[in-house]
Amino acid sequence: MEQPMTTKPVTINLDELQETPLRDGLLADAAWQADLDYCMTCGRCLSVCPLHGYSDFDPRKVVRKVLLGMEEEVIASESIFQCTGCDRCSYVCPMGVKISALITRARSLRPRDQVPGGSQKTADHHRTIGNNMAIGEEDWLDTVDWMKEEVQEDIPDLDFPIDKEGADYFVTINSKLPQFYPMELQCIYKIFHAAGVDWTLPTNWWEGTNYAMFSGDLDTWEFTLRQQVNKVEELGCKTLVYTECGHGYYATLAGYRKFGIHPKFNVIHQVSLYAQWMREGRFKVDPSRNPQRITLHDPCNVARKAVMEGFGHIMDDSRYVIERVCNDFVEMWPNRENNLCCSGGGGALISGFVEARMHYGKGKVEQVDRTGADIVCTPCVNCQDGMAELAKDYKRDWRAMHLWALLANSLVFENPPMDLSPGKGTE
Amino acid sequence: MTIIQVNDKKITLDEDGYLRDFTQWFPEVAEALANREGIAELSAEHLEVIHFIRGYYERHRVAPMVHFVSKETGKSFRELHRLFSKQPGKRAAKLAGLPRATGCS
Repeated sequence: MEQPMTTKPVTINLDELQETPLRDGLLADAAWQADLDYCMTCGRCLSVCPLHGYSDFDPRKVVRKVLLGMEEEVIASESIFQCTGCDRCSYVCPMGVKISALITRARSLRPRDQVPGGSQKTADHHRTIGNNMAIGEEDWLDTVDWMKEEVQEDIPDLDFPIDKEGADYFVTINSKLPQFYPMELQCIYKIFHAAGVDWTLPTNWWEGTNYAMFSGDLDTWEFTLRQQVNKVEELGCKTLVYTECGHGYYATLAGYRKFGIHPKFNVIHQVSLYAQWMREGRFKVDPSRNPQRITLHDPCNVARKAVMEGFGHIMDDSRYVIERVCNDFVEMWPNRENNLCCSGGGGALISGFVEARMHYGKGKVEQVDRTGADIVCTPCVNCQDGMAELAKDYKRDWRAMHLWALLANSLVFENPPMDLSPGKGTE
Repeated sequence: MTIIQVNDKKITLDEDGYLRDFTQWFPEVAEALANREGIAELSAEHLEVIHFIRGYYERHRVAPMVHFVSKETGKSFRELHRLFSKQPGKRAAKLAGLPRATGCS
């Protein structure tokens, strides 16, 4: 069977490569600028690390090992894949050491067949077929139409073109939607329809995530970004819309910078569009359709990591929207750039380290519990599953939902609102 | 990693409760997996869906899209939802002995 074992011990032998590829790679890459020499071992990184208390992982030790030339040990350690890439460490580092860059670089030096779990296989699918779940073009278009026909029963004039040249918005989708959660597509259709904008779904390169960044496959990360850029430019679309995904948007912007890609179009996160359209008065919403108590989980990649990359406004945009589509919004604490990871970030969700995930998800569960919320809204497909698995494991009643589901449900068309009681809704 | 016993056979599950080896599957394994997922009993309807998914996986080495499952078994998405509760595509694939899907799943 092809499913890899995660417990197999890993041996790394760097002799055939350069002597210190990890450190050299970090220093040579202007986008990463991670000079480990600045580390003064103060330990702020460890104090905020979700792995703290689970294993003996300590970001300071990783830095020391690399400085002392013990790179093989770092590259072979399980911890580099248990890390959820939440980047709280880099955020609090007084010396600006980018620990996450170090982790990504370490992952990239693992032989591809020794990457635990399914993240490399996901990246391979993305590279060869154009999306994470190996969905063929015909099947993709079939599902897109299937869901369109269903929405048209309620909203007959809803329609949109495929591969429209010169469209204002080229919209990306997470492959999990057509694969497993097609009903969620309806929410996205409704929102774009209600906004009355010129948008299109492409036939290929529509994937709105990038697992190559998680698996450390830098080559595939760049390759898939360039393929998507080519597709958008080929169609001549004006704006690439990144779906409600944390890391996809981050991997795109950070990747463009890292690999020196300069697209001819704009890139925007879908949540920012909701806020923009709401400000422009394009939506008629009825917040009473979402009567539950709702809290918001900020995905690390569009909160803390985004702040460090200079696009932290998404946190404000999501709040602007959520406060207008329900009547009982409560913040969880800490939030925004100080949030805690959903437990599934950085590829951890499919890396097989379930025990580690449940350990560091405990703080997240307590955060949600304190709000008394029925629904945890999170504009990220990965966080959504991370939260759902926490709810299942810790036997909690709250549910995780996308912002698109809440927004679409509050939109006033002639259609009846969805039933969001437990067991119903969009999943 | 977990080992469960079904009909005197030892079945290995991975950390997420998915079958480690697709070929170890037989119908009673689906029953055992269903119980772990909170589904008390598998009906003929459940098994029809599960067998379709296994056949598809044998041919393509990936899980079928839920639309395909719906179209080929003649069951609407709502019916699949009723049978397998939430996340029907994902859960039915798990009961059919498929490994965890790639991507944010």
